[in-house]
Order: sequence, then structure tokens, then C-alpha cells
Amino acid sequence: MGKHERNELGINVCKADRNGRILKYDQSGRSFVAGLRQNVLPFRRAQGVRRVSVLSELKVGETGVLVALDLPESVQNHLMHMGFVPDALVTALRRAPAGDPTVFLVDGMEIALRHETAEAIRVSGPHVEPQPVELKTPPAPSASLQSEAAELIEASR
Amino acid sequence: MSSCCAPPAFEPPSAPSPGAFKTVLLIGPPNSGKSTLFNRLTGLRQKVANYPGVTVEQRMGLMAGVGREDLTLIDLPGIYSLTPYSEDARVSIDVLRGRMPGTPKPDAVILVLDSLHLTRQLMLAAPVLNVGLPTLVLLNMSDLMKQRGGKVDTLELARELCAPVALISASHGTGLDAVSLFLNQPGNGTAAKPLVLPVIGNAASAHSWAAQVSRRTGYKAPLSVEGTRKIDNILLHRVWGPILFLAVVIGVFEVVFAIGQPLSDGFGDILARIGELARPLLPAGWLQSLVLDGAWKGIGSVLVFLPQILLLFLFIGILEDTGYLARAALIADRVMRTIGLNGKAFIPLLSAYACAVPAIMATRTIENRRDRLATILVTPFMTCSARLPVYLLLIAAFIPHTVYLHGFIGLQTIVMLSLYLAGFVGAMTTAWLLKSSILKSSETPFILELPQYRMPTLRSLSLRLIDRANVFLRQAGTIILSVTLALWVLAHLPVVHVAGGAYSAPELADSIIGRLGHFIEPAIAPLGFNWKIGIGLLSSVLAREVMVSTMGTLYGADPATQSMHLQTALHHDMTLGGALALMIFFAFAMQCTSTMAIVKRETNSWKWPAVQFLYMLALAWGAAFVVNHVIMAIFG
Repeated sequence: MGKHERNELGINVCKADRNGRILKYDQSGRSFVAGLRQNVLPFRRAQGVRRVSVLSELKVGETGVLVALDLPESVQNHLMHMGFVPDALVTALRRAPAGDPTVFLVDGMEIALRHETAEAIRVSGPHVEPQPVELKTPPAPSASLQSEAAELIEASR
Repeated sequence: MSSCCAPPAFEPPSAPSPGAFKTVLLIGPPNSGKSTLFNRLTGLRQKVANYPGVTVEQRMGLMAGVGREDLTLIDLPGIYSLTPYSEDARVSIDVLRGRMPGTPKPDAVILVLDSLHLTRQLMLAAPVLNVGLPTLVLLNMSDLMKQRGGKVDTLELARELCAPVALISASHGTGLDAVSLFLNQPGNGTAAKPLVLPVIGNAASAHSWAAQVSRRTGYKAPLSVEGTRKIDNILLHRVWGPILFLAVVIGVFEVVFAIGQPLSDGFGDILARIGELARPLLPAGWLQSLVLDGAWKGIGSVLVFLPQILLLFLFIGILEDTGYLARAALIADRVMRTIGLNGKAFIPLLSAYACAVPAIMATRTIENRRDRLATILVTPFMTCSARLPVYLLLIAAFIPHTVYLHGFIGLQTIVMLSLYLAGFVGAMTTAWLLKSSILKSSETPFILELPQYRMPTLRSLSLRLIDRANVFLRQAGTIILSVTLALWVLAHLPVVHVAGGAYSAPELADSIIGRLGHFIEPAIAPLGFNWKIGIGLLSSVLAREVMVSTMGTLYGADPATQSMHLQTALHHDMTLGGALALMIFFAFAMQCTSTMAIVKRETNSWKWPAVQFLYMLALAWGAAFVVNHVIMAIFG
């Protein structure tokens, strides 16, 4: 087995052959680097469940759970003191008229961040708020979707 | 107070005895209301507004508001943590640690937290309490918290923090007796000592500690108000946001003209009548001429603009107090980023519409040093209120009263807006040049907290206006008065002999000032300026509005124009090209000694103000030259 690396989804991907040469393409010629997520994923992406990995991918109105901040120490520290701590719920509230920056709601405060900063903040989500209204009969497709999503998360671990 | 703290009797005798405090610090996160509390406790009028970063340096005052004139209270810029992120935060931390030269070491700390966001604000409590000074924790805006259904057990919180905790409302002045109690209570000097806090290594552990504390103390966050979001749905709308922004700006200038101009004219008539009433009281001769034609005319010509300047400040005050300023920065971020600056730099630039001096101080909130320097260097381009008298005088004298779009917008407003735009474009272009050459730096993240909208109080708005009027009148009574007196004297020397052994003033052109003016005339003639304007330009290096008073004095000293209104006198003496060139000259030139002094202080060298002065002078001269020749070519 070659060297194992973790891509951004946390999936083990073999990127070197037995002789230790780094592979950039698989045998069919598909790129590991460029089209990894589209082509090499071992399972089909679930329909209807959008996975978000960084803050900037949240659509307006969506909420994510903060995972980590990949920013220089001082900026990271500053943001954490403004409430951007792991496990915090962050909601994308609105975009500025020019489309950037985006206003995020965290800890009841509205904080505007530019795209490149939000891109360096890892989240998981979109987080679905527990619905206060109970459904009498949970529709079957949604349940299967959820189990599929859970499976998907399990698989990625 | 707190049960986990050792009783005072067990404390070492070295603990300060009650009343031994000399210096008390106000510390807390940004926009938590420290300065409002400071004003309450001292009776002073430190500037307050609704955006983070209003206070950028330490301010001291005696605690006269609670009858303790023996105590010094220090107001500090807001901080998120004890790790400095920007220049203003560094000031706070240095003062707290007693490392600030010229500022006394603190004996006690008042920690002001915004009770609307207590969980996050508590993160600052641990490091501040760990400093070990006697600390009083005040939860500000408690009236709003209760209104919106929030609550917190202060007794429990006091036990957790081992420090007295009180709910207050600084803006309404409720709960402030806690401060007097804290300062007078025996044993208060020791309250914070035995606190055992978790070792706060990083922000994440600080946050989990804060979250635990707020849970244990039964903190219930108040419901967030939907009002702010609803307003933002319109004010930050893709289409309506920028349109409303422009409408507000145009509306401000329309009001300054449509309502301000008649007010100013009326005020000017009153000032002129006072001068006429005083004329018989003074003996005819040089004294009457000095007082009425020199000083009064000079000062009066500037004072006339007081109503219009106050109107402008009323609008700036409303924008700052409601919380719109931060939104404006958000809208402008896209523009700012194309020139290489941070959207945050927009807040000092906007406040420079009032005056460049506090705006340059406000750049301390910009974290990146190079960004900050670039912002300092372009701030004087923004059209400050001292340019307003010059613009208003020249526009009223030269631009006809035409209106367009059924009276919706006037030509005078358009010219005025173009001048403001010229200054803004000058600032942006210069910033872009600086940021793409000598001040190049990697982009710093834009992190901006948007405060909730608040209704500005009549009290705070009127205090602002009174303060501004005071500044304006003081300026008129000192700089403008002395310049006009000096000008009058120079305009009447050297005395000449007339038949019969008497002395009389020389012709204006032969006076010292006339000769000086004619000496510099060649340098400014290409711009369409005569020698009187030249004298005005020289004297206005002190402050821009001196230009107007100089014109008032010089045209008042000239017998040919003495009886005329200043506008009429100028109209007879200048071409349209020269007048427009003069306006554009003022849009670009850096004629303000106070700004140069503050730039020197903030950059710590004379190099930058010198570079800035020469650059802006060259730009002003070039632009005025072009405008003068283009207008002459078009209108003959």
C-alpha cells in the first residue's frame, strides 16, 4: 500500500503506487487532484442533502456548526473572542449589496466577514434546527434520506 | 457579595484600605457603553455613538458625577481579550497593566459588560479578574435585557466571579449607586484576590468557561429584536441599499442648502446689524475701522455659516447614533477592496466629513499598520466641515439658482456634491496608488461587528451640536480673530503722510499685505486667482475657514468693495473659472495645521505630514490650473 493522505472530506485516498511514485491520475486517467470529489468518490452523492464544509458555502438563512478556523493565530484568536468557537452555531444572515461580505449571526451578534475569511472557517452542516411542529407520519423518503445522510457521514469517518 | 471569597478580616494588611483608590479603570468589550457610563460618572462629554471603536485612546476625568472628585476615572477603548489585535486595544491593555507612560497605575477596575450578549462578553471577565485588581462587574443595558425577556442571577454571578455584580443602564443612569457602594465599601479592595479561575489558555476554553458560568447563573439571553433585521432588509437590500445610501447623502446636502441657506442669511443679517448698532459706540477713526471693518467683518463672515455646519453635524450625529455607520462600511467594502483597503477604513473616512483630526485618531481601529498609514494619508482629502464655509460662499456667489427635475435637485447642490465627490475620488485614487506601491501588504481580514439599531436620544444629539458650536465659536474667537487682526494691521501699514501733517492708511495695494500678495501673484495667476485670494490661501494654511474671514477682512478694508456684501464683492473681482478653480483647490489642498500635527503624532515623524502636504498642494495646484483653463475655454 502506498502513502495514505486525507483529503478534505476525510476519506483515505491512495495517492502513490507501490514503488512510492506519487500518482496524480488513476488508471482511467481521471485526475485525483482536480476532479476528486466528482469522480473518485466511492459512493454516489445523496440527492437533496447538500453538504457544506466551509462557512462561505452556507446559503443565506442556513446554519452551520463551526468545526475549526484555519486562520493565522491572531485572527483566529480575535474571531474566537467574537464568538466563532468550535461547536458554535453560525447562521448566514445576509450578503452585502455587492454580494460580499456576508453578515453572520453568531451568539446573537451580527458580524460581517469577507468571502476569503469565511472560506477558512470550517463548518459542518447545514445544521437543521429541530422542528417544533411534530409531524404525524414522518414521510418515508425523508427518513431514508436521513439514514442515507447518516451513512454518508459514517462512511466519511 | 460573594461567599467563596475569604472574609475581609483574613486579608493581609497590605490590602488597600477603603477609600485608598486613586485611579479607577473602565474596561470592557467594544460598544458595551463604557463611554456613556464615563460621561455619567464624571459629568464630562466624551464622544459616544453606536458603533464599535468610538473611543480610541484613554480619557481621564474626575468622578464628579458620583461626588468623588478625589478619584480619577479612565475610559478605555473596547477590547475583546487581553491579546491586542489593534492599536486601540493595545492602549487599553497597557493602561490596565500599568505600563502606559503618563497614565497612573489603576487601583480598581470597573468591568462593563453588555448584558444583551453576556455569554460572549463574559470571556473577557476571566482575564480581567485574573489581573488581580479589585473589580466591579457592571451589566449594562439591563433595561433592554429585561424588556426583551432576558434575565440573570447577579448574586450567583457574583459568587462565580468572586466580584460584586450589578445591573445598570448607563444611558438612563439607573443602578449607578452600585459604583458608589463599590468605591466606599470597606474591604472592597480585596474582593477579587482569592478568585480561582481556570487557566485561560486559549479562546475556546475561555468560551466554554463563559458558557458554563452563564448557564450556572441562569442567564437567559434576551430575544433578539426583529426590528434591526427588518430595517437591514431594506437598508442592506441589493438594490434599495445603495440607492437609499445615495438618497441620504443627496438629501443631507439639499437640506443644508434649502433650509440652511435662509438660516445662514438671516444669521448674517443679524450679525451685520449688530455691527451697525455698535458703530456709533466707537469713535470714528482707526479703532472703529479695526473693530468693525477688520475683526467683526472677518469673524462675521465665518460665523454666518454656523447654522449650516450644525445641520451637517446633526445628520452625521443621527447616522452615528443609530448604527448606520457600520452598515455604510459594509456597503462600501467592495469599493474599498478594489483600491486595496479594508472596509473598516471607511468608518474613519466617513467621520472625516466632520473633521479629519478625530478621523485620523479613529484609524487606530485598523489592525494592519500599512492599511492604517494609507488611511491616515488619504483622510485629509475627505471634505471636512471647515471646507463648507468656503464652498458655500463661492457657490452662493457664482452658481445660479437653477433647479432641475421639478425642483428635486438644484445646480448648487450638484456643484456641492461634485466637490465632495472630487475629494472622495482624490482619497480613493491616492489610497490605490499607495497600496499598490510603497504600502503594499497582504490583505487583512475584514471583521466588522454590526450593532443593533438604536433610536438616537435628543439629549445626545443636542449635546453634540452644543459641543460643535462651542468648538466653532472658540475657533472664531482665537485663530480667526488673531488672523483677521493681524491682516487688518498689515493692510494699514506702512502709514503714509498726507497734507497737513496727518497720517493715513496706504492704498490697499501699497500696504504690506498688498505687496506680499502681489509678490506671490505670479504663482497663482495661472489658476485665475488674484492677489487677495493669494493672501487667503496663505492664511488658510492655519485652518481652512480662515480663508473666508480673510476675504471678509480684505474686501472690507478696500474702500471700493467696503459697502458690498462679500458675495457681491467676490463676484465682481473673480471670474467663474477662478472661482471653480478655487473650490477645487480647497477640495485637494491640505490647509490645516491641526491635521498636520495629529498626523505627526500618529505616525511619529514629520516625514509623513510633509509628504502629504506637498503631494496635496501639487495636486490642488494642478487640478485648479486645469479647471480654470477648461472653464475659460468653455465660457470665454
